[in-house]
Amino acid sequence: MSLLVAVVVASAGCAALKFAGFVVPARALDSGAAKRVVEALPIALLSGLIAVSTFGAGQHLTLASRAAGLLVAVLLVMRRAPFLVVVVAACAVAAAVHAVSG
Amino acid sequence: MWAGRWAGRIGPQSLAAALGVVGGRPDAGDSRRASRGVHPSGVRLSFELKVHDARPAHPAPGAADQTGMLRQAFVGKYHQMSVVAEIAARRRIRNRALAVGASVVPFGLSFGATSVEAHFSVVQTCLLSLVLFSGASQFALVSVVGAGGSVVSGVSTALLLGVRNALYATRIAATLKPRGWRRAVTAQFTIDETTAMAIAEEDSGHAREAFWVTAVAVFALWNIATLIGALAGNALGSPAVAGLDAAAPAAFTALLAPRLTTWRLRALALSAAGLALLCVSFVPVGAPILIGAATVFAMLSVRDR
Repeated sequence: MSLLVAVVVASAGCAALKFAGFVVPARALDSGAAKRVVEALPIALLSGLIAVSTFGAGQHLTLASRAAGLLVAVLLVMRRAPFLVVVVAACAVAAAVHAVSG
Repeated sequence: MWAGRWAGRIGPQSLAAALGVVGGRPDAGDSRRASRGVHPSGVRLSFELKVHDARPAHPAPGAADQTGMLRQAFVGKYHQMSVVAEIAARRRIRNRALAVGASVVPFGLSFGATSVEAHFSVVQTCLLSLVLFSGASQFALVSVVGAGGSVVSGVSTALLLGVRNALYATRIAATLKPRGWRRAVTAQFTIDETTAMAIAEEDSGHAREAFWVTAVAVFALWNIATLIGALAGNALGSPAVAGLDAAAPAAFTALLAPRLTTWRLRALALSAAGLALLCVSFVPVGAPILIGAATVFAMLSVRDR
């Protein structure tokens, strides 16, 4: 039930954010400090998500096979590999490391 | 070339570069030059002309006449070329839209699988792709909730990631100029991919076409991939065995990289990740990502050189 609430609230909120850009004056978002924050937010959030989804396990830090997957993903992204290659290679390496390390 | 193109840019432009959709724009110093004009029929043209093809390599006696003749021949072919250029532009837009659409398939598959691993039902997973329709926000929501975070922190992360779509929407509103109810429909499809494709086009007609062709391609493939991923995720066993637990970090890495255009932004990414990891043991699951995001405000005090 709570998951359905999450789906509905997140969907409605994200739709409202998309629509907001069509109704608020462009300069409210597209200039100055507001623009810098809006453009920097995904960077901070995505890097936080990368770190926590790789090294977090509940309220602990861990070094699991997915860290090897992340390493491969970073190397491939730096070589500008396509998304498919990045994700498949990361999953394959993580699965292989998991199989080897047991 | 890439480094120069990315320097000092963030947002949809860098995404456009990442998606390879600014390649059609002429580069300064390139041997090719873009010619633009308005055809008598009123159709705006945008095509590239290989300059060195139309100019003799070694100016010989009478070279000026020769160039003049070539120019006349070119003007004579103007009409024919405008049609050819228009067809070429449409084909280019369609091909890129399909490529961009195909690029979301693995992301959709991994999202679907990750979402059902996080105990969202197949229907809920598909609802997210149909209605929320913003990959990073969807992935963040299921990733945070799946890791044991509260619904509030999951939704907050998704919404904060969705704020950038509002900025994209201001650009799309200025380019496509939808009116009335069309604004709501256009808004639903205002995401990274469609914005990058639309703003990469200089002609507003091409921008509109790029936006909608990409929207249809991405929406269709994203939702099909989500459904297949969700069904497959149910069938797959433990995520660690299939390496699926690496899908989310890898996907986030691929989404993040094209945005890291300046050293200031790279420093921001590292500090946000570091701060988030430092908090992991002390705050509820999901909260570290939101705390890490607060580094954005610290960044405001640091000026770009």
